Amino acid sequence: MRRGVTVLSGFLGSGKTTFLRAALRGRPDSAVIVNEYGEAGLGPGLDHALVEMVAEAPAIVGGGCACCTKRDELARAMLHRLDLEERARSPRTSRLVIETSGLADPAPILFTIQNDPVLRHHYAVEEVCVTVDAVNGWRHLDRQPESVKQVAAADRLVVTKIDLAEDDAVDALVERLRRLNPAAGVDLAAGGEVVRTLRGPGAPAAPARRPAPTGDAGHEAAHVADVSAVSLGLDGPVDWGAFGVWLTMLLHAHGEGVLRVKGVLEARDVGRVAVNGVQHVIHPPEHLADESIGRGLVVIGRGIDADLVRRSFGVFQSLEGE
Amino acid sequence: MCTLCYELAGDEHWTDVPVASGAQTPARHRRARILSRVLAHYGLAYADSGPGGPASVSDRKGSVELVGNVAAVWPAVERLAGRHPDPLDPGLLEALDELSEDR
Repeated sequence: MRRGVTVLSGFLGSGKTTFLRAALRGRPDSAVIVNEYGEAGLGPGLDHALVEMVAEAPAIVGGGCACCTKRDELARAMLHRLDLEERARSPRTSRLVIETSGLADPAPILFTIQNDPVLRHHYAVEEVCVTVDAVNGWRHLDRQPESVKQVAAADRLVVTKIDLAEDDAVDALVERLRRLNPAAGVDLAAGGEVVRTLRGPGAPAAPARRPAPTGDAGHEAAHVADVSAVSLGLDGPVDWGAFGVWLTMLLHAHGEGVLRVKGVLEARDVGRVAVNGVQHVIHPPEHLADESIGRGLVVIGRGIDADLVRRSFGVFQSLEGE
Repeated sequence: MCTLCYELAGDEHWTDVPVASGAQTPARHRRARILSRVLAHYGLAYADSGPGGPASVSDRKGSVELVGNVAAVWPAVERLAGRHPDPLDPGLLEALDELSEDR
């Protein structure tokens, strides 16, 4: 049984550590890796100390972002953790939380876990959870491209510090987040504790391991700066071969411009399949037994023409033919 | 390992999901036809030798590249055709539309 991994991301100061501490209480089966930015040579930082208060010996990957310069270190920290448990020097855990630095892009971290020849047999990413500060989140989205990437990559968005912001500001931020990433669930938190879970048209009930995309049959594109979320309502079954050809080609052509692809497809001869990808990293598709989960596909992209995405998807699907 | 070219088999690609029993070969052929239609726009051909064997992309001058999965097709197209394959290219979409209408 592989250990479930939660990647906890969020911009600098958005309340990741506070949220993590609250989430870890009463979960002794969890191990933690904290990636701190700019801590090289200075010893454990404040985040480390705070997390240590609730979790046993979190591993620290310091001196850079786990998403780029410290990817190997992240892999090593995970392997070390695994080694400790396999040698019974540390209690067996069933869950690992990786708290990224505030500047980290989650995609390369997912790539590392999915493609490392050892790690992929022991760990499976369950969820990318992203904190967004109710007070400063709007400004981060305006000014920090990393923040937009993090939101797009999220399976679950946690709007933190709602007790410090006006209700109207929280509502506006939630609305903006939903337009940016209609596939993510949204939680509201104060003091690190989730006080409310929002369910809306863009955030339907999620299956246990992999959150579902929107079941929205509408074809709506929402533009936030140059980031668009394109929802493709899929009424009929799709051709899996044509979908694979189309998506691999789209990812090759538009690289990092495609921030997120998430959906549930009914594919001929394959069945109902959940597709979940962050930038270039597409998780192995998962067969779904639950027929009640809505079908649809969301593509979140930067600088990508929403109408062309829809047209292109349709043209490739119509290529299937005897 | 491929029995023809001795290339080590790569990891399973996400596009290679299990399909219903008896549908594997038709699904593979269907995908090959789709790729052939797309690659024709770039003056290239796609050939799939079947399960366990290599697939290839070739140009009209005889240059051939073996590809281990669908994602590997696009860098090969770029090298062989010297063009950037883009599914959002209106020219490509028009050409594929015409193909679908002609069928």
